[in-house]
Amino acid sequence: MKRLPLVSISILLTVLVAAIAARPVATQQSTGGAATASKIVAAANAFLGMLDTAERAKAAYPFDSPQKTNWSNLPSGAYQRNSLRLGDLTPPKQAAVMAVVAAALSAEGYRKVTDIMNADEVLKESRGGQTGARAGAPARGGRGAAFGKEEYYIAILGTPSNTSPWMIQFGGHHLAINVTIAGNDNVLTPSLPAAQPARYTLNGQTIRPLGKENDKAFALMATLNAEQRKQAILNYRVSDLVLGPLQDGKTIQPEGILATALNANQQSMLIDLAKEWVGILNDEGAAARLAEIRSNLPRTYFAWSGATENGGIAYFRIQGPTVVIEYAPQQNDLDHIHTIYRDPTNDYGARLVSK
Amino acid sequence: MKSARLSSAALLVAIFATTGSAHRLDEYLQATRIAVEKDRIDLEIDLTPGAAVADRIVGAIDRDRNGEISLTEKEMYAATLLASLTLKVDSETRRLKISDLVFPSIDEMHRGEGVLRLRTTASIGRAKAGAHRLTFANAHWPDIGAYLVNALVPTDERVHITGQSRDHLQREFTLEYNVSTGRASVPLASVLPVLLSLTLAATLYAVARRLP
Repeated sequence: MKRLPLVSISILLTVLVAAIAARPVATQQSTGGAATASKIVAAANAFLGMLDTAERAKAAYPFDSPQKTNWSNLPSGAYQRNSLRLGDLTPPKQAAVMAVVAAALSAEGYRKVTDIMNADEVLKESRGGQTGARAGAPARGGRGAAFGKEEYYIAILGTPSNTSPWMIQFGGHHLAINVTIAGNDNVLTPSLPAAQPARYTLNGQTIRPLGKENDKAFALMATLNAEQRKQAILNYRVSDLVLGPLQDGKTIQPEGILATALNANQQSMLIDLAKEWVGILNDEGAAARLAEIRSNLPRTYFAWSGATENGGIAYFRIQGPTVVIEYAPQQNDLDHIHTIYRDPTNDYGARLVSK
Repeated sequence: MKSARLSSAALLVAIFATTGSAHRLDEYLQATRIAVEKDRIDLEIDLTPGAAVADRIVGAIDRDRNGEISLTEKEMYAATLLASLTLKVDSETRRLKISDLVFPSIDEMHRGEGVLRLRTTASIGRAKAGAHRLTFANAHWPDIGAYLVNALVPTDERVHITGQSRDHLQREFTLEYNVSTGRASVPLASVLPVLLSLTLAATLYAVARRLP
């Protein structure tokens, strides 16, 4: 009779130890900042608290709502986002929206977002201030595409919380930011930062929303020797994103050069390049995601198609177990860039939520 | 009528070219993703006509020019599309069957935002263990086509992709893959807790039976 508890306890301990040992390594790595999580929750609650009933109906969704995948690179008018439009809000409420975005992102990430929005304002102005895509089309709500800073939308999925998962979705033309927060950890995937124009002048300054992405990629290519280039460069044209909007849950067979065929400096440059996307997220979340990417470098590929001299047009892709990044100039136009950032294991926080 | 349509297309090109656009213009983007399973090949094909060439594509779909796409017109266009695709496995041509077909509205296509989604599957029987070669060619609208073709990572662990190659425009694609024998393996992490729980239950049962 006395042996029964001893046997049970020892077996239970064995089970516990084995179960812990069997957990995927990646799930043990994700740590985040409680302070950051609280800051994001506070900003989201402050924003939601300012809304009237009609606005709240457009802004707030259940966490598992189909709204989660309702994002696009397309401008409003051309794509129905359903969520709450910046242009329909008072300036204080617009500021509250941007405060939510700022709380969820890094300073550099927030700058990138506003640079992309300002680019769309430039695009709108270049059309003489008109928003309709076709002559005679209505500016909004009809067939016409609408451009400009007012044409960005926000949705909060789930209840802002330090414990239960929830999500911030912000985007419009050439921008989709999807931040899923679960406890102290958070992810940015899938997200789509893009730009048109990719270079413009604002207040006397030249702005390139995705300039560092371009320059760091060409700088990395410049360090590759002939044998490495042979492995990295695809011998075919890639005219668009392969895993853009509507391609959730898909993993393509990787191509290009394996990161283990790069030297230490090149590997650092590859990580630094990936950081241009990963680092849009707040510092704590980005650090956890970068640690995962670093640990998976032996299974990470870098592929390139197009010109190898900066100033030329090139597509590139970084693909590893927890990252897919694509950079795709549209129709041979250096002034129109689409990119995507995904985590095959963690889009919409799938891995965080399943914990 | 024809000249009016050409003028309309030219005007669209001019508008988009001078003002910039969010959308593909004078190309017909055709993105294919190929999934290799042990007994079949699945193809997902997304086709997006650019705004400046949409009139041509819409004309080929809406044959009676009534501004609506009927089921018959959808099926006819899908048949035309399938006829321009070639799928071979181990040099044997495989017949593609449509499993799903979604057309955008004509208006969406005119805006350059309409995506025609075709899902097809080809049965290949139980693939023998060993090396196999798949070839895929897309000759649909080659004068305006912009092509993407990619293999998806197989869900069946017994299928391993060993190589892939394409022509410069991605109209032709070759995929080398191996099929191994045996049952698909299950990750140890997912079965270990179950095995240990069963062991625990059996041990407790055995110990309990010995008790007076």
